[in-house]
Amino acid sequence: MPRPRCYSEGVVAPNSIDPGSDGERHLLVRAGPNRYAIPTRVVRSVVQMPDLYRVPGAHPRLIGLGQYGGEPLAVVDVEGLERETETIGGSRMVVVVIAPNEDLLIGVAVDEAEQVSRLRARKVVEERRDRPITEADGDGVRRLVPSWFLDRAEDLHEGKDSEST
Amino acid sequence: MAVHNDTWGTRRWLGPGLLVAVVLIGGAFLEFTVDDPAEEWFLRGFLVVGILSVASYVFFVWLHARSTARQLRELEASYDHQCEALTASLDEMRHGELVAAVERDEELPEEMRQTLLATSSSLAALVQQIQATSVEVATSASGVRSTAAALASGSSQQAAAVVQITSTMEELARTAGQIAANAATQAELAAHSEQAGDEGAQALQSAVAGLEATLGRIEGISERADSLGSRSREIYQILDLITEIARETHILSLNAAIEAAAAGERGERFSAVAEEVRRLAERSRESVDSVRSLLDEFSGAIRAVVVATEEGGKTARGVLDQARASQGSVAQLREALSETAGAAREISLATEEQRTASDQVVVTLREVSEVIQRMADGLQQFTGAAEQLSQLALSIQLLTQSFRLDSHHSLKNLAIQWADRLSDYGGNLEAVEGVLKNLVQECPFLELVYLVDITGTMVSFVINRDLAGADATDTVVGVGESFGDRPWFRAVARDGRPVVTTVYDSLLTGDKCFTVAAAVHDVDGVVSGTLGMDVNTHNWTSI
Repeated sequence: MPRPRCYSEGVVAPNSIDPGSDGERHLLVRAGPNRYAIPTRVVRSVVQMPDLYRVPGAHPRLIGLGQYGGEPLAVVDVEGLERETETIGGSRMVVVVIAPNEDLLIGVAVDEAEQVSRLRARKVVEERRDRPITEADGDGVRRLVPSWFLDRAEDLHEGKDSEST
Repeated sequence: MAVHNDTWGTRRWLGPGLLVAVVLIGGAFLEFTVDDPAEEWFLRGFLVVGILSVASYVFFVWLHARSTARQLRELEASYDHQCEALTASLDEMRHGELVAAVERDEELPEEMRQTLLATSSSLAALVQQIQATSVEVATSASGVRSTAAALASGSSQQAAAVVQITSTMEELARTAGQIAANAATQAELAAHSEQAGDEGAQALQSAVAGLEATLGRIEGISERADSLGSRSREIYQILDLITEIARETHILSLNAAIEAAAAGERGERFSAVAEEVRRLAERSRESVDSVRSLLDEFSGAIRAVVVATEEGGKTARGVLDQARASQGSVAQLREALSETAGAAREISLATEEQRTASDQVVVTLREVSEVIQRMADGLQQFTGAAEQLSQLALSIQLLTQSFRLDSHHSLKNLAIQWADRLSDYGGNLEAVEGVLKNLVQECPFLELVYLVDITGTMVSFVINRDLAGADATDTVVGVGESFGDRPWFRAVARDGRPVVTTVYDSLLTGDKCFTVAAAVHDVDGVVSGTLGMDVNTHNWTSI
C-alpha cells in the first residue's frame, strides 16, 4: 500500500524549519562520524541494504541500483555526498528510502538510523553553502531537506560535481 | 893380617923346635940308658948327626920360609888389590852402579869376576824383574783403583738411587694408604649414594605416578575448557541472532514512527508505542553488547584456561618424560653407584695390599741401601788400598831406579847416556837445546829436562808442552837461575854418580814427579855440568 507523499508539501527552504510548531519530526541517522536529520515527511521507510547492482560509468557517489516495492531505487552515500568521497559504509548499513518528489525515490545509505525525533530548538550553528546545521540533543546535526536531494539528484543525473558547481 | 902372620911364624918354628926337642930327649934318654962307652960314641954321633940334621933342617926351613914369605907377600899384595877391586865393585853395587861394578872387575880373578858378573847380572835381572813387576803392580793398581773408583762412584750413585727409590716407595706407600682410605671412604659414600639412589628411585616413581595423575586431570580440564569454548560459540551465535532481531526490531520501530509521523496527530500514540519498541530494541542491543562483552571476557578466560591447560599439559608431559628419563638415569645411576662401590672396595683392598707390599719393598730397599753403603765403603777402602798399592809400586819403582842397569828402563843409565851426548857439544847452547828436545821427544814421560853448569846455574831447558800444556809459562824455570841448593845437584856434585830424588809435587804440572840427574863430562872427562830430568810419575807408570 503506497504511502502518502510528503513531498507534496513542496520544497522547503534549506533553513526554514517551522519555528511555530513543536518542531518537525526528523529521522536522525548516523553516517560515519556525522549525524544527519532527515524530515520524516520525505522518508518512505528504513530498510536493510538491498542487493545493489553497480552502474558502470556512474558517478562514484552512486553506490548502485536496487529495488524497493517494485520500483528502481538509486542508493547514494550521504557521507560521500557530504564529503565527496567514495567511502561506503559497512555491510550493516541501512537504507533510508526517501521521496523528494513523486517521480523520484532515492535510497540514502547510512550506518545507523537512530530515531525519529522532533527538533524543537532550531538553531543554525553553521551555515556552510546550502547545508543547514541544526542542533539535536545538544549535538550539531546536518539537516537534509528534499530540495537538497533534488539538487544533488540533478547533479548526479547531469554528471556534475556539487563541489564544482 | 897380623894375626895371620903371628900364627904363621909360630907354626914356622914349631918343626925345628920339635926336632931339637926330639934330639935332646933322645940324647937324654941315651945318657940315662947307655952305660957302654961305645954306646957313648954312638950317643955323641947321634947328637952330632942330630945337631947337623937340625941345622940343615933349620937352614932348609929358613930357605923355604924365605921363599914362602916372599910368595906370601906377593899373595898378600894381590889379595889386597883384589880386595880393593872387589870393594870398589861392591861399593859401586852399593850405590846401585851395577854397570860400573862390572866395568871394574878386570882386576879380579876370573872365577871371582865371573861370580861378580853373575851376581851383578842376577841382581840386574832381579831389579829388572822387580821393575817389571812393580810396573805391572802399578798398572794393575791403577786399573783396580780406576775400577774401584768407578764401582765406588757407581755404588754411591746406586745408593743415592736406592735412597731416592726408597723415598719414592715410602711416598708411594703413604699415597697407597691415602688411596686406600679414600677408596674406603668412597666405598662408604657410594653405599650411602646407592641407598639414596634407591630412595630417590622410589620417590621418582611416586612423582611419575603423581605426574601421570596430574596430566590426566589437566587433560580433563582441557576437554572441559574446549566444551566451554564450544558452548560460548553457541552463545555467540545466539547473541548474533538476538542482535539481528533487535536490529530488525529497531528498524521496524523506526518505520512505525515514520508511519506514525505521517499519520499526524492520530499517530501520536502509535508513535509513542513505536518509540518504546525502539527503546526496547536498543536496550536489547545494549544488553546483547553487555552479554557479548562479558562473553568476550569469558571466552578470553576460557582461551587462557585452554592455553594454560595446554601449556600445563605440555609441561606436565615434559616433566613426566623427564621424570621417566630420570627413572632410567636413576636406575643407571644406582647401577653405576653399585659398581662404583664395588670398585671402590676393590680399590681399597688392592691399595691396602699395595701399601703392605710397598712397606715390604721399603724395608728391602733399606737393607739393599745398607748393603750398597757397606759395599761403597768397602770399595772406598779398596780404592785407598789400590792407591796405597800404586804408591807402593811407585816406591818400588823408585827403589829399583836407584840401580843403574844396562837397560833402557834404567833412568840413571838413560841420564848417563844423554849426559854423554851433551859432552860433545861444550858451550854450543843451540846444540844442547836440540839434544834436550830430542830427549823430550824420545822420552815423553819427561816434563822438563835441563842442563846446569858446575855452579848449579841453569844453562838450557826444554819443557814438554804435551804434558805441561801449551799455555805453560817459563816462569817456573829460567836460564841463569841458580839450582845449586837442589839435592840432586849437590848429590851429583858430591859423588859424581847419577841420582834419583824422592817424589815431589811438580810446580809445572802439579803432578807427582821426581828428578833424575847425572853429571856431564867434557871431552877431557872433567865434570862440566849436570843433566836433570823431571819424570812425571803418572805418564811414566802409564808408559
